[in-house]
Amino acid sequence: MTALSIETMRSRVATLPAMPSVAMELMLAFSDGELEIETLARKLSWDQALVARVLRVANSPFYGLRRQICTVQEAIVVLGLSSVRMLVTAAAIIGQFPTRARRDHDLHAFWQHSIGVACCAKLLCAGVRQNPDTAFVCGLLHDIGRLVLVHYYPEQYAQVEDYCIREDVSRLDAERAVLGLDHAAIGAALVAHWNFPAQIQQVVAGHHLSEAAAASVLTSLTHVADVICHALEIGAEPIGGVPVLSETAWAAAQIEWSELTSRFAQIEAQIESASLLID
Amino acid sequence: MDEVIEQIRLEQACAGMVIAADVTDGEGRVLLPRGAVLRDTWLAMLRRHNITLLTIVPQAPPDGADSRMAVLRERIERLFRKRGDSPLMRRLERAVLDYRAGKQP
Repeated sequence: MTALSIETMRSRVATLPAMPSVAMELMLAFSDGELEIETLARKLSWDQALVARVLRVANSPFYGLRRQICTVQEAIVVLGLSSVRMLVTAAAIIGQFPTRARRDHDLHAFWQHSIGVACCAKLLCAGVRQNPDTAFVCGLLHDIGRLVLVHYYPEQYAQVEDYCIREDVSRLDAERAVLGLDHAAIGAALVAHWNFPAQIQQVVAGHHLSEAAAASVLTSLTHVADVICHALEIGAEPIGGVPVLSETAWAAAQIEWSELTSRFAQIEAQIESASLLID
Repeated sequence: MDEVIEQIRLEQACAGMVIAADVTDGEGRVLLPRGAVLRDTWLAMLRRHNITLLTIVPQAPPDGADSRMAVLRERIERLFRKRGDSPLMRRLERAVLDYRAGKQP
């Protein structure tokens, strides 16, 4: 075992860059319907890389617009403030790590899965009256701790991957066996460093629901979305098979079966478009 | 043994399919009896009566489709190999299999 301590991980993530301030402001204002279009557009204009990613998605076939959108203001008018706000936050989060392939780790598949869970949680959150943008961000961030391992501990993570295949277990179980801690704990440390709200930190820490502690509705929703995306093989075939869906989380997420299965195609379509956020 | 039946949307229906349950209009009048073999000309009549779903006796798929289905079933079973005896997971497995089968050409 190549043990890593949570203290080492906390010190490591503390050295990572902060989130772009515009993204943090937007996220903290998810519940604020009063956000001015002009204010958003002005702040965004400071980060052209972010704007480019957002416009690439806005102009994707998913939205089916007849003309080209060239500015953030236009995107807000056509797609609505909520969609643009969500796209900006997603682009900022994804932009925090390089997306080019690193060794054998397929980062495109990683982000596709994360975007899948984000879209799925957003689509399924209506029944539990959660903010759809917050549900989206939780999905996007749920496995973020894995990126810290892939980028900063590549040798140790290669051992985790080998263990997964050799023992036919999930990455979570392999991380615990090889490293003595898992991506959920590391992810929670990272989102705390980024100053994400406490409810999002809880989701990242608890989305595997292995702890006895009662999970929040958002955590349950993210867990359900994660299992569904593994079942639909979004990103890649899940290593170690589709994880088992928690009955408690399923009950808490209050999703109808008919509603879920009728949305499989919609989930896949949304992911295709949102995947343009990845380089 | 229970009779195997399948519900399909009217736009999926085609001539030669066997009706597995009486098709009735809004007032309970039988438009097509159980056991009738669908003809092309009846489809327009069913549309006029706003019939959207039909219950039919599934037709035996040709060999090609049969083997595609077997491959798909095997793949989904492998995907769900850790499901244990969780009823929720069995249901999810079934839903994914049906969804993938529907998408097969």
